[in-house]
Amino acid sequence: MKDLLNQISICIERGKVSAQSPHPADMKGLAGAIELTEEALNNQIPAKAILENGLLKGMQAVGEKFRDGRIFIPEVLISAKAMNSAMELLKPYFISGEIKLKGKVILGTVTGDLHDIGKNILRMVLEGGGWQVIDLGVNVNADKFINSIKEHNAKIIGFSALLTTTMQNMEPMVKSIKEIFDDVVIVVGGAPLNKEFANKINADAYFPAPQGMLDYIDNLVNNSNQSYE
Amino acid sequence: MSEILKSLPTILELCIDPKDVNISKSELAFSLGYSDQNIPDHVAEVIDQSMELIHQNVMPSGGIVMLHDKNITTENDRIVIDDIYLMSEKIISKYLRDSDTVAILVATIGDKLEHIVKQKMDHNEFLTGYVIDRAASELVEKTVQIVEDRLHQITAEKKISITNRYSPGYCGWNVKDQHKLFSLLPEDFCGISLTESSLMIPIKSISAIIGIGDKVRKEDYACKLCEIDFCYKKQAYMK
Repeated sequence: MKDLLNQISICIERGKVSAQSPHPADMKGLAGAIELTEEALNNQIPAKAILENGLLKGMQAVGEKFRDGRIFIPEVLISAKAMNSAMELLKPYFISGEIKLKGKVILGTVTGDLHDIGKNILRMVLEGGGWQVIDLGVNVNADKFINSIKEHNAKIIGFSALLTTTMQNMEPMVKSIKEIFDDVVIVVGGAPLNKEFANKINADAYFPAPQGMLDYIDNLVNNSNQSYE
Repeated sequence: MSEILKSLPTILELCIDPKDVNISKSELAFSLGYSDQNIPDHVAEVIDQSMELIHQNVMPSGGIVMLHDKNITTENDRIVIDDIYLMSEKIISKYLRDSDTVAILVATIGDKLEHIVKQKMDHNEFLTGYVIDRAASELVEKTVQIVEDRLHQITAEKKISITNRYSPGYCGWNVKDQHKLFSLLPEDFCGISLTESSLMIPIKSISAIIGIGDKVRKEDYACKLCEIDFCYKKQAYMK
């Protein structure tokens, strides 16, 4: 069992989606994350073990490499794709409640801003990290976030902006949301932002790269009694 | 000097051949963080597959508006063009202060690549979307460089100098000034418009101001003038 889960983890880390995937070259023809996850399920390995000791372990290794500057965003995206492909096979177990995602995160590019590349990459990384992401798209105002928080009972929000003008829109949005939901955690990101700005607008955290937010919200789950589901 | 300035064209819309705006595989790999030696085979393949699509869908255009018919002065840390006050940050204004006149530059690669990126993202082809987006960002930088080179050529012929290129949103220059800058341009100049939040449409567009005159000079690298360390351009420069 351990060996199979290790192989799954390696496939995620190396971005090997399936046997048909020609990449990476040194794994050509070998089973990928999809086949190995199927094999694990057929061998009655619990879905929870596959998720935690196979898939998420692989993504954790990817996160560590990214933090250390040993890999870059394209490789994170390749691994996240392998992760998401294997996760499809675990869907019935999520639906039955046998396994659970870590929680829900609502993401959106703030009012006035139409940039979505950074936000999309963040979505991919968070989903690959075992979170359910509700992506509200671009040009999202406070009301839309508030409605989504109510609808999904979400406790974590991510704001993105790429302009110095639109990042200013974050301050009233943080205020509006925190007035209604004082327990909601708001994380901000985007090229022109920094930690000082996040502090000034009363956001809970700022990260320059998606892995930082993933680590932060993983720690929230691990270190508090609060449910983020 | 004023006679020389008057001899400069006022508005120049450039015909830029898409073939002149290109990016090599190595350049694109570098912008993604890799060298030719350490690029993963999967990323190299996506770059290979995307090159034709990228180059077929670049629609570069650019232009220059020279403001030598306007009164350019400075007031504290601001550049004043007739009655329009630009820049409250001295990072840039101190380098433009000695200009006899200024030129506004715009450049774009059109909106085709941005639509392709959106399609790729919508179809969960994140890597391809990301690679094309990076290429588009590099290509618009190359386009604005062509525009700047043209300005340099024109001014060099008259034996006058230009400053570095400065853009709203960088070096502490508030991007809100984009509206003031665009008020000095013909409407929809080079097909670029502004949203209320100062976002240029097409998104892959650049606007900038350049000082012109006898007493100005170009610094070796603009980012060294700026103290804003968290700027991604400066971080790339520091690498």
